[in-house]
Amino acid sequence: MGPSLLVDGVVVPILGLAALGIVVGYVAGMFGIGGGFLLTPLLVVVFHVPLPIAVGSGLCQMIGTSLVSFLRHRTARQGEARFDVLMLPGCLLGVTAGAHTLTFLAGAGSLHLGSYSIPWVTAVVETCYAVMLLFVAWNYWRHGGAKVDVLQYLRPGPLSRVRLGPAIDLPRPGLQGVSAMLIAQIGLAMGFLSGLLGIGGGVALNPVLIYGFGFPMRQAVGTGIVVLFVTAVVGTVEHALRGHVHLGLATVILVGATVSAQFGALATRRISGRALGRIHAVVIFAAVAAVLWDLVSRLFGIY
Amino acid sequence: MQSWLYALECVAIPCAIGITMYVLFDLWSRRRAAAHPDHPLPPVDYMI
Repeated sequence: MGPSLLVDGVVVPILGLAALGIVVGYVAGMFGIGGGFLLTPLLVVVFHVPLPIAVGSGLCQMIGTSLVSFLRHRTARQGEARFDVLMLPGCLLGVTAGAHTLTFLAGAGSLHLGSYSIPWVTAVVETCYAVMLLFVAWNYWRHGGAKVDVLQYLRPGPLSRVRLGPAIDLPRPGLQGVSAMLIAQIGLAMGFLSGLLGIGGGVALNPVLIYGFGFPMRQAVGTGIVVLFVTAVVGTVEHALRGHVHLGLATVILVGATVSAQFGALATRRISGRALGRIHAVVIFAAVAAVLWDLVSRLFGIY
Repeated sequence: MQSWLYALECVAIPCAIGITMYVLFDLWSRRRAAAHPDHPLPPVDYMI
């Protein structure tokens, strides 16, 4: 079977983990995302890693990927720093609340539906995954194009017109009078998702920035990276203190993912923007199918 | 309940791997750019 890791009583083959890291990293490099939304559910579905450990270890490896991202973007002058600053306090509160919620759900027993039962933590977290991923996949399918510059111009979206509390100008994307309160609340929501689901939030933040506020693609890609790094650090510490981080697992995936991301980025040259968007949507739909299968099989005891 | 030392390890080790990978691939992309000036590597824009 080869070398393996023991993760909370579950034997996980190291080669399999490395392969998962390579696949997730390749997809991440191809679409310009981190891949946390794929990694955590696949750890649960493919390797049967307990959900809290999949979430904590996913956040842990994200420290490495977000640091690489920050180093790459630091000289590119992409992204709106004011948006990051306004999101940060909410993100820190949210990630802590998300970690507490996950711990509470993990100890909450099972949800009983007739003669069937499923742990509350699986039911809630996997349902959240499925709903969020369906929304994101639908957006990508509808609009096409992921990392490509399909939206280089400013097109103020509905969220840029919300009037709630003090307003702030965002010079980089060229938006004026945007609600600072709304940005802080988005930070809270993104932080909560990170702490609960082990994702960076970029997969959800990207559509919010582009289709919600009307950020040009390049500015959207550079926004939130600092927040992401800080959120990943705080989330990792919160989960590590609760015993929800397996450092070996996170390390194997991180190495595989960072190497293959380079080749995923190279592959984008040969694919058109619209096809890239559609492939992105199909990948996310596949992740949703895996999550739903896991949910149903656990509920009906098919394992 | 794990210790703060373990939590610190969980932050420090991914940081060290991230920085190492960044340096290695930066070096690789520079060498590649020098060898193929018309075909630079596309950026890996992690949104995460």
